[in-house]
Amino acid sequence: MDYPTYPYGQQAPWGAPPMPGGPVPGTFQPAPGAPVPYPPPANVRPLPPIVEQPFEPVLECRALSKRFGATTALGAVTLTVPRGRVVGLLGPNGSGKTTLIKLAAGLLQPTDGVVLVRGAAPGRSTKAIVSYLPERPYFAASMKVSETLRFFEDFYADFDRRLAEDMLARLSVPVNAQMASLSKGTKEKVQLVLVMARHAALYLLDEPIGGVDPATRDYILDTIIANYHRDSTILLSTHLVADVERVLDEFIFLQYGTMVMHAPTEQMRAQFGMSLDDYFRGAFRC
Amino acid sequence: MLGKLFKYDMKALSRVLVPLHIAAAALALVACVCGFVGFSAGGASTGAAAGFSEAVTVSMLVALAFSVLGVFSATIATIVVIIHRFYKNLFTDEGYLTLTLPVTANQIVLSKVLAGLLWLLVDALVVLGSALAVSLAATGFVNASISDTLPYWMLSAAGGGLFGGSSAWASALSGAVGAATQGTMTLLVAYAAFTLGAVLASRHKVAAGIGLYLAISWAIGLVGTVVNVSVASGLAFGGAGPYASTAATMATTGLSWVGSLCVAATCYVLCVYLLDRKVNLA
Repeated sequence: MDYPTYPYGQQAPWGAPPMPGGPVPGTFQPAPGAPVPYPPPANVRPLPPIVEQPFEPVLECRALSKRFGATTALGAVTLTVPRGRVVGLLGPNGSGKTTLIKLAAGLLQPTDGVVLVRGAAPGRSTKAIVSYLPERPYFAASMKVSETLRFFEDFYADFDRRLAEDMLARLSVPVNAQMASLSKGTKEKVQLVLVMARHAALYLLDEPIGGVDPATRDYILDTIIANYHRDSTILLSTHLVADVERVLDEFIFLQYGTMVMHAPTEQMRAQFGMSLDDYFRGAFRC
Repeated sequence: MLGKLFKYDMKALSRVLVPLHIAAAALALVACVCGFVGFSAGGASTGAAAGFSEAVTVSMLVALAFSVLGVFSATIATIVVIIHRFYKNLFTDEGYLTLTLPVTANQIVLSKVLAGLLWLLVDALVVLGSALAVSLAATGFVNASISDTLPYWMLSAAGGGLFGGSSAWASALSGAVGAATQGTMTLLVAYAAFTLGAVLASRHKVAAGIGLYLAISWAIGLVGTVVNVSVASGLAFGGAGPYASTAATMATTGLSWVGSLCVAATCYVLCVYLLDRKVNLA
């Protein structure tokens, strides 16, 4: 996949060299020519940790679990997400995608296991390098768009205000408008612009295209890829697999709080001869 | 980062509290006018003029009472707004922004405590200033003694006994310190109660916070009463003699200050711990 050059020629603050090209070794490999199981057979072990990483993984989960009372939202998930990848966190509703993202963002406390962002538990240092987009509006309704720009500029050293203003201008979002006066889709665009205008090491995008029309979905995905730096990692959760498939380097499938599969997108196409969306529809058919 | 958090907390609170206190000041002006008119109308003593004068005085007194009630309501409204801002900014959708900022839990709580205390101070100045103006207006602006004004009575009731009633100014100062410690404790107990409610309750978090606040306040009041009665009794029966009453007042006032600050500190530490380790924003 060709990564677009960052338009303003700036380097990420941490200055890491780019990842070597090529896919990350996959973890689920049925015999060549064998029919693709829906879902993978029970005797297939969940993945081993990805090895041969020349660089420190940006996100690591070790037997990560989260329970809400008697309900297990996430059950002993172990995975590693390397740098410089666009990773789709896919699964049906209630599979644990949002829970996993919130654990990495530091909004939830694990019941068991650990989650590490660049080797550190979620806290002040990780929040400085993680750019999080929730699935809901999080600014006070009385704030103006210009005030939200100022807010991000005040708290995040890696925030590029010029880039954010440029994106907002292209979207024709009035900067003096109050958040309460904007439509739902426009609010989501404003939040996405703010999040993507940061030069973060890890972008956690929770359902960024869930509540918007198809044209806006394409715009959002194009914005994500156009403003994403090669050294950064994007972890993007959605159940709209067909829309995001074209931008993903890897995917993680969750179901009932456990991880079903983690592999490069190309491997799905090359080995199984089908798209992610086709596999998703088959594997998670009601 | 603390300064930036404080800036945004003050901005959010000021959006509501500045208009509220402007309205309180306007009500105070109305109360002053009512008080002065009522005082001035109370001159005639015979005939129809006396009846009219009495009617005017009573009307003005009623208007004065409602206006003063409105001014004092600003204090309750201020506390509610401060606590509402605390809860909304941390435990509702806004929490997705606040709790993912690159700041520590200590900075978040400290910022909200400082912003809340500053606004409580502003509110106290507005209310006491209004009370003073109303007191002077109701006596025709001729009363020059501090001990005959409404603010003095209010401060004395808030804990003006540390100096044993040695002077009106000392009592007023003691009352001001007492009110400040009480206000600090009230704010931090509320913060701790709502944080605990958000952590412990899976649903109805606001109701849980209110319930915990009432329970904690009741417990503090009970312990405080037991301590004060024990100290006062000890002094009365322990040979303080004719000074027992003064000694008891001074001792209990001092103890209540210390107790309030200890409770406030405990609640602060609890808030920071819960926000750092136990909050789950589902």
